Amino acid sequence: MKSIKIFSLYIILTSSSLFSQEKEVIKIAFKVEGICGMCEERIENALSVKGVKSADWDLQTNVCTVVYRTDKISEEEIHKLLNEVGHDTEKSKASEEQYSGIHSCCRYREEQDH
Amino acid sequence: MLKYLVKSLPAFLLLLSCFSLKAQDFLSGVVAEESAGGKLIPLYGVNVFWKGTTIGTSTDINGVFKIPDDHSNHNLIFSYVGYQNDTVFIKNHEDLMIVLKNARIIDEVEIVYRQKATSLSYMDSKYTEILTEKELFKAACCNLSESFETNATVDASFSDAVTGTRQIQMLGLAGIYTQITSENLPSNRGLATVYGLTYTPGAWLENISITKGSGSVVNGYESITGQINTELRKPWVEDDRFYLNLYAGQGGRFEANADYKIHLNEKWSTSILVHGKSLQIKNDVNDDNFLDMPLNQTFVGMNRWNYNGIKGVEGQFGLKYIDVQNRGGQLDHDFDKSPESQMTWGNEFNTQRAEAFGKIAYVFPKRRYASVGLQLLAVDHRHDAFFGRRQYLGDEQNLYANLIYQNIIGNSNHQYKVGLSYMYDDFDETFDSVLYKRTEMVPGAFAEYTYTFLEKISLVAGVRVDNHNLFGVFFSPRFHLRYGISEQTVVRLSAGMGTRVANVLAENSSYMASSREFIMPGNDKAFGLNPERAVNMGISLNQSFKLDYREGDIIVDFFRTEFLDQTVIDIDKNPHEVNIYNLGTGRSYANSFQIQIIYELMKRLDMKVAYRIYDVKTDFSPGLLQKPLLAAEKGFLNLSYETRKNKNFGLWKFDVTQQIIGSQRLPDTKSNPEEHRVVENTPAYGLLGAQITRVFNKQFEIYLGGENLNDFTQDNPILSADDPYSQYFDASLIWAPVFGRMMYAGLRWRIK
Repeated sequence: MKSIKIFSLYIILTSSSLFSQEKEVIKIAFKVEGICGMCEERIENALSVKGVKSADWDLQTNVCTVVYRTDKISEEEIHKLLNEVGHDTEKSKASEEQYSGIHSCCRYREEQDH
Repeated sequence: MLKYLVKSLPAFLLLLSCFSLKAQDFLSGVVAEESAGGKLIPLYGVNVFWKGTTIGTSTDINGVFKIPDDHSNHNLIFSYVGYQNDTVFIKNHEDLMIVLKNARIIDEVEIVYRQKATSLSYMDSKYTEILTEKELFKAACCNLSESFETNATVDASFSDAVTGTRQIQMLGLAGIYTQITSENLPSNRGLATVYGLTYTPGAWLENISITKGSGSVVNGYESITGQINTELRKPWVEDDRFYLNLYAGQGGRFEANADYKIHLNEKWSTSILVHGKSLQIKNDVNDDNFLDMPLNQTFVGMNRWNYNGIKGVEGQFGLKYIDVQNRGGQLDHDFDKSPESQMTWGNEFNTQRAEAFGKIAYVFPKRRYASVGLQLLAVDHRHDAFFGRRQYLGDEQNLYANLIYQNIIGNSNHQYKVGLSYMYDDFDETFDSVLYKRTEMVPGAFAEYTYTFLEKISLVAGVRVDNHNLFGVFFSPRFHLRYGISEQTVVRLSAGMGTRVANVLAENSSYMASSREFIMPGNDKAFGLNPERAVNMGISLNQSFKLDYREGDIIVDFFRTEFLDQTVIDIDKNPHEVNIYNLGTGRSYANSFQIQIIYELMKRLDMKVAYRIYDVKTDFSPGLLQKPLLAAEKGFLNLSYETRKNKNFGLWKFDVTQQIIGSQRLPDTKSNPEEHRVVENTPAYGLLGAQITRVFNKQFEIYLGGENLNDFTQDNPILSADDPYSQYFDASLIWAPVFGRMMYAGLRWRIK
């Protein structure tokens, strides 16, 4: 897959911030590299953690839409979780070691080299 | 089944999108469907992947896909909601043009693949619950009769204390009123209605769809309360080449299941499925000198073939063989000696059943929505049993043919199916030295019209007429309406009429495990009885919701079955008799109300809770009474939790099911001496089941579980167990488990 110019969207979904600063629910969308259904399973599973209300990665656009509680988890931590399972996001890259852990059929970096 | 055209069409590709065709390591193509007007419309979101791999992609808004080319792999799979997965053989690794067609002639019932364990088909005009493999794995079910442990709609309970047979119940009525089909071919009918559920091993199942209320006219006249259709593992399915399931249960029950698939060439694929069960240990936990579970040896084998030819022809063929030996009764009964020569009571049955089936479909190349299909089935069934000194022999030869033509009227909003069917059934039964013979020949014709308007309305109106050689014309109108009030709210209405001829001996063989005398009107036609006829009407409401980003459903339904004529099985008139007679001018009805809530309670914690009330009454000899051995109320709770998957997609799964079974009315035994009486109403009781599954990776998992963990058993399940040849002996009044807590363990192994 060609390296396309990275884009991102930030939408504040709820207005609960008006009442309580701690319990803000936010929806973000960012790009996560990946190529197949197994990647989708891995990405969505990585975000199945406390604080993340929902996570949906689109195989077609590579955009990951995450709804999370700001008092429980930060955006940086979300990106970190994805790196830990071997996926690059538009904000941070997985280390070589982390990347080497993913299944051979999910090697999205090699694919970009073509 | 979806159809496809494979063409080299680079020019069309270039028109549709602007991606470059530079990399030889990518295979590209366009997926489209044909509109009613013959236009090609690109399909968005079609999943495309190489067979046996997880390398895949999906089509973009223009229907275009681009997938890393795997030159060692020639099978590309396309999957799209509403269509079955299909495989395209890739020869030249050049650009593809795929046209999906919605010609579902072989598979009559819509199958929707989803991740949820139980999904309620949103688009189907009938109320249909689909139990996927995920749901079936929640209880390590061993055969179809045990596959409904985690489902609230279908009940399965033991029919007697000796044979180990579980019978199902739907809408408050016995399983005989539910049409059971396997890949839309009749199964479990005729003499196999009761024991037939054990002929379908649970590990062979890909999914089960349960339709409440009247079924489609295409599948025959016999459906009254609903339809249960099983889909078995297919020879062409891409998930795994070899599948093995082993199971060991407390009390010495062992089972093994295997499925091996062979892909021969682009047209032919085949698979071999085997199932073996063995129980050789004598268990008598309640010390009544009777086996709590019968000794059993079962073998089921199947070889199936799939042909996917060019020019719109496809076919499936197969052979299935079943051999069962089942021995129950008193511990010291000697099965090598004749029952007459012994004072002990034994029960044995031996069944050999052979089935051959074929399905052929042809899709007209010039008229994309028109297709014709032929379903064929031949069965030879031999059953040989004794219950103490009562002997029952039952042989059946059955032939079934169903020809279906489907097309559209003008555009695809108006679809219709018309067809002809023929059923030949030859029965030869002997009970207590009396011969019962009959031959049924039933030619039939049907027509069904489906109207769909966007996603809002779908209406199915069907009618069939069958001419029975013994009973004359059967008329079966059926009607289904689905109205989507909003995207979250769906209302369904159904009404229909069904007719069936009862096989009273085979269906009530549980009463042979008693001293009850069978009193039947005669021996002409079918035991001197009329066919059973009933009208079923139902309404259901499905409200989907989203609470805190997690989805849920509330389903409320009400169904009523009113019998115009019924074969009444009366065990209330006299405790030493089973009186079987026509309902005649009497009344018989069944009302069923159920509310079910499905919701993801917490992250990865799914909850299913249900409550149900039955009001089932029949005019028995003493008057209008609630059906005996039926719990009017039932509560059900299932919780299932999954941990986060690890790197290898390994995880833990925990499942708990709690059922509360309400009080049941038992038949009148007041005329018996006090020690041989049963209570009038049973107490309510609970049943707790749980299972832990450790998934190591996508290939291997083990499970450990238990049924009836609260160890509830029925006291004194057999009346007069110490004197089984007395007139008070009765092992048919079973309302709770006989065997207590039942632990089990097993494994599942898949090889790609």
